[in-house]
Amino acid sequence: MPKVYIVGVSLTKIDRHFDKSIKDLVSEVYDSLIGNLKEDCFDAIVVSSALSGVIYNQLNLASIITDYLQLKDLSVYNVELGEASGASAIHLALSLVRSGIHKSVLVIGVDKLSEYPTWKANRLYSMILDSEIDFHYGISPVNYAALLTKLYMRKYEYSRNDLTYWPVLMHQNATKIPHAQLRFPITPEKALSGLTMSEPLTMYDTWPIGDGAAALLIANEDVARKYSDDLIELAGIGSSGSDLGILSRDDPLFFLNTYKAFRKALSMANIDERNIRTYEIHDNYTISAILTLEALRLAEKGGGCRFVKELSNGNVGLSINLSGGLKARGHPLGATGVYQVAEVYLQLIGKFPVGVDAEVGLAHNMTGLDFTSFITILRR
Amino acid sequence: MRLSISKHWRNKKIHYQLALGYCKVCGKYHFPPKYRCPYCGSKSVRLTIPKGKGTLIEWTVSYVRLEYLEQKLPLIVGLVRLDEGPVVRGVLTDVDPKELREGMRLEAVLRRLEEDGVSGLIYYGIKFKPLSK
Repeated sequence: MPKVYIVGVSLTKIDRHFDKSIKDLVSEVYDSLIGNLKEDCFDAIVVSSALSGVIYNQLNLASIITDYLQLKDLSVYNVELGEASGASAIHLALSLVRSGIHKSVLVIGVDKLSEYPTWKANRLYSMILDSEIDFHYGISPVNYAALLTKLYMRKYEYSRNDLTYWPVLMHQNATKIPHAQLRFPITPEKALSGLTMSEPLTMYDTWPIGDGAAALLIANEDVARKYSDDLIELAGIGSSGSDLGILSRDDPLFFLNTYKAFRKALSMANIDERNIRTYEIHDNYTISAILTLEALRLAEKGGGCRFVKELSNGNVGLSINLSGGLKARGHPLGATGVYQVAEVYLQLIGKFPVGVDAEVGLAHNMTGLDFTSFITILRR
Repeated sequence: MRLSISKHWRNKKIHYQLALGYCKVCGKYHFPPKYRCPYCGSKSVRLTIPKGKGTLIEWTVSYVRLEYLEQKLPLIVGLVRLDEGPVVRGVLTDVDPKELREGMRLEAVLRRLEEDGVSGLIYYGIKFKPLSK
């Protein structure tokens, strides 16, 4: 099969951009990515956004963006898959290039969550769950995370303090990342004393409301070699959706979809998982990070929490969420999956704010708690 | 009008009573009801009404503020294993969170959820309360 490459990436700082519209954020990433290239370097665009319809009164976003940027004669696609919209868009773009339908595809992820007060964004975000079963009762993904956290703590005998290593580490990582939203360190005491969201989770176990846009140019080998020397191969993708919601699974503490997506991506990339030296994982909640590390076989079942402690102490020898993760880099829903792949790309070409020694990297994006999960493997 | 009348009317079977999917081939129940049995893949599934009793596995007291649902806070969200087998998630009512215990017996009850303004419909749904002695 023909190889598919990432030619270049760009991303905006994630923040509460009250002064910027979706069009402003998108033109910012477009300029910085395509500005120096010929405008006809891509023949299709895929736009990813989770909430533009409900929070921005904007359906048909890809058409609006294509028209605003005045991109002519393109094929236009739009993707929404909750928190995993970004990876879904990238996997679609890869498939379009690999199949030969398009030579080169521009992927843009964008979301603006700060248009209304947090309680409105919370309600709209909760619509990623089943509207007839969960949303009808006001049950939100954070409740899922809280229940999984309590099940995990009880089954594997962890204390609440054991869960603070992750947010403290993520905040520490984000201090070095210019595009991160929360660039300040926190102490374990602060992580425990934050506002309670759904006990035992505090606001430091979740992600901040913010806006952002990120873009990637994905191309076949011929086009890619014309435009860049910093080529990274999109070597493997895998995704998996649920047959049972996680809370009703026989083992709710195993991210089965993440695991299945991981195996598929490894098989497509045809690599040994030990070659993967840098990871960007979808830590929408602290427990999500822990269960993802277990599903990716970096830790044994029940050992994810201990692994995070070792990671904090610098004893792991892998790079995991150098960006600060969803926790501190931020989580502009439909853009997040694009940020993650862009970050791994920058890590592999040596242009990330923090140095990384890696030939192969992995991005993990999912919606809800392992509702549908995506793995993307990048290779230098 | 915020909520669709036809959607609510259509969903009365799953909102006015606790409903499970039942597979006629493997005999297992599942929640929420699906097109196909999640265990054996059979399409011979039908909606069934369980006795509505179960035991509490875990719970969380939620303070997340969701638009239109502010007055319901805090919300207690529980995981309940029904006597028929499946684990369901649901809102707990008529109980002080301090009284909740793992293994506590619960039963499903019909409760008013919200009103769509002064002239809109009143919406109902199933919650769980401690089993009456």
